[in-house]
Amino acid sequence: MPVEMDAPPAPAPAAAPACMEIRDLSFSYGSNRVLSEISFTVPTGGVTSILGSNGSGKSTLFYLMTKNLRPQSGQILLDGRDIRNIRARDYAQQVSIVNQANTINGDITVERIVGYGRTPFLTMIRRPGPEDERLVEWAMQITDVRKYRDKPFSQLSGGQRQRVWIAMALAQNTRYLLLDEPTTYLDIRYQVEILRLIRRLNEEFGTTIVMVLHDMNQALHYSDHLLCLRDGHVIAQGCPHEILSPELITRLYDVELRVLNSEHGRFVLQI
Amino acid sequence: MTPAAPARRRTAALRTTLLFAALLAALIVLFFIAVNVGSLQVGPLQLIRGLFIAYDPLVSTVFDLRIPRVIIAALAGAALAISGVLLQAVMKNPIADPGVIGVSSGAAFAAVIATATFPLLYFFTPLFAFAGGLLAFALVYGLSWNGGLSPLRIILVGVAINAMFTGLTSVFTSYSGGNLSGVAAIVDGNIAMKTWGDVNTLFWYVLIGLVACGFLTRRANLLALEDKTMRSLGVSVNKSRLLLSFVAVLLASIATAIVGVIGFLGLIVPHIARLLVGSDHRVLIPFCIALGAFTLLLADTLGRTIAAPYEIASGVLMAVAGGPFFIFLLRRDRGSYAS
Repeated sequence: MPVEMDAPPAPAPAAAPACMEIRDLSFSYGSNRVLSEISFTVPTGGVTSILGSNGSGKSTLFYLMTKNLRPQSGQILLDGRDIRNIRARDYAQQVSIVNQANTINGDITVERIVGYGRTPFLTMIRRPGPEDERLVEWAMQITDVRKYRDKPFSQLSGGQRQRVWIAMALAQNTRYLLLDEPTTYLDIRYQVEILRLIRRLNEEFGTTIVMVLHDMNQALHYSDHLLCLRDGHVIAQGCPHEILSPELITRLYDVELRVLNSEHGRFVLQI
Repeated sequence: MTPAAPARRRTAALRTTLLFAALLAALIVLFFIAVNVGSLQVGPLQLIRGLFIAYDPLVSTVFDLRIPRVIIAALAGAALAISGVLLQAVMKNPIADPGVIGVSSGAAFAAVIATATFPLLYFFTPLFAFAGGLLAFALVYGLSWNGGLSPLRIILVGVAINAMFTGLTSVFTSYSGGNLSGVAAIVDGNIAMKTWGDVNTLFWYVLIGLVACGFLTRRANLLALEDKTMRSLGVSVNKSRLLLSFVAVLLASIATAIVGVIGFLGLIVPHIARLLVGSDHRVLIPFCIALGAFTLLLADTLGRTIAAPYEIASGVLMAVAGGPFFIFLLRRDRGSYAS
């Protein structure tokens, strides 16, 4: 069956200028304030990494951006609309999400899981058609999980599993891709594979990417923009090579580390 | 695409089609056997002639006495199997069963009270049962919820709720002297003495439940995902859980109102069906309808045969077969359930 493998996804509707903006966002768990008036504009067509220590509020911010939590004050705007007013299904047609440490119950094959990515576009009457199949094939191809398509999820390795979840998100064919610590718990080989894949998605298909990352060097090398959080406040944002300094690292993580400049770029010596 | 993919998919589809055909054939054969078990015998040809062409006193007797029983066993079996499938999807728990977690005994309790108190509202007994089933389900769900649903906690709470409603039913039947025949049948899970009126009642409620279930297959599949992942696909997790639970409790309660408490069927049938046709609910649900019908009809027919002229209630038979099966499942997958 001839399938154009490297065909990019169908062009996203080019109506209003695509834009995701966080405006004066605050959130508390009870009396514990985790985010205080965060403001940030996600650079369209770029890769943004959110950095911060445990408890800095980065996970909460991710949950707010994925509509798993509702902001108590402030807004998150997608193309000028408050995402609270966007139906989950419409949001899923524009923003795809890769959650952390994701699992599935029972023995479901890779192909079926990736196929679930088409859910936001299906209705009781509209069943998967050739276009849906093409996108599922494309997503499996680009994440290199096609050879496991008939394998049950439980038989995959950690790196393969993560690629399946990314494939599912890609099958949604959205303009935005949000990832929560996509490399955590993976061997270094898979970490690099996943980050290269994310970079490639951004470069080839113009997908706007926002991810929460743990590793400063990965953030430095695979993103165009950093959002640094501490105690629920934005303490720095901008181009990683410009802002990531020993002083910022100390403010972020309470630890003194050296930043080295080499012919291959900047590195944080994480020891 | 690997060239083998379409061929492999065709093989899988063919296998499923053959399994469906075999099951339906077995169901038809079992139907004729079930109609003929007992003191009166009619062959398939005589039966069809007697029903559609010319009056036949023998066929007429069988038609009034045995056929309703056979149809009721099949309908109730289908309803209980589907109830099990849906509860297992909602609770992410392959050992959930309307009998084990107390939904059936809640329904039976309400049905017993309704039968004894308002005998004239006979046609509405299933609705009372439904209310009882919902109450039991809400109790189990609410009491085992602790930021998530641990499979084992559901079973433990379910066993307690089941014991409570079974006890309440016993108390009530003791007070009323235990001589109400309708009440006794609900308690024992016995399909004897059923009429075409019962068929009529059961048929419409089960039909509604099964049709509703046909619209819920995609949600049932997606519930295998984590809640946040399902949400990220734009599907409401709570709404899905609510809808599926509602239909599951409806089917189990209706079946209980007519045939009484029958445990383990909702556990055994989906389990075997998953081994045969896989876990995709678009295939699993239709297959369980047929396999559930077959299983309860088989249990009822065996119950009439083994100790003839006495009868063993199909609920008793299912419990005898289902108990060991349940333990087998628990032991085999201990790693995944004992969390």
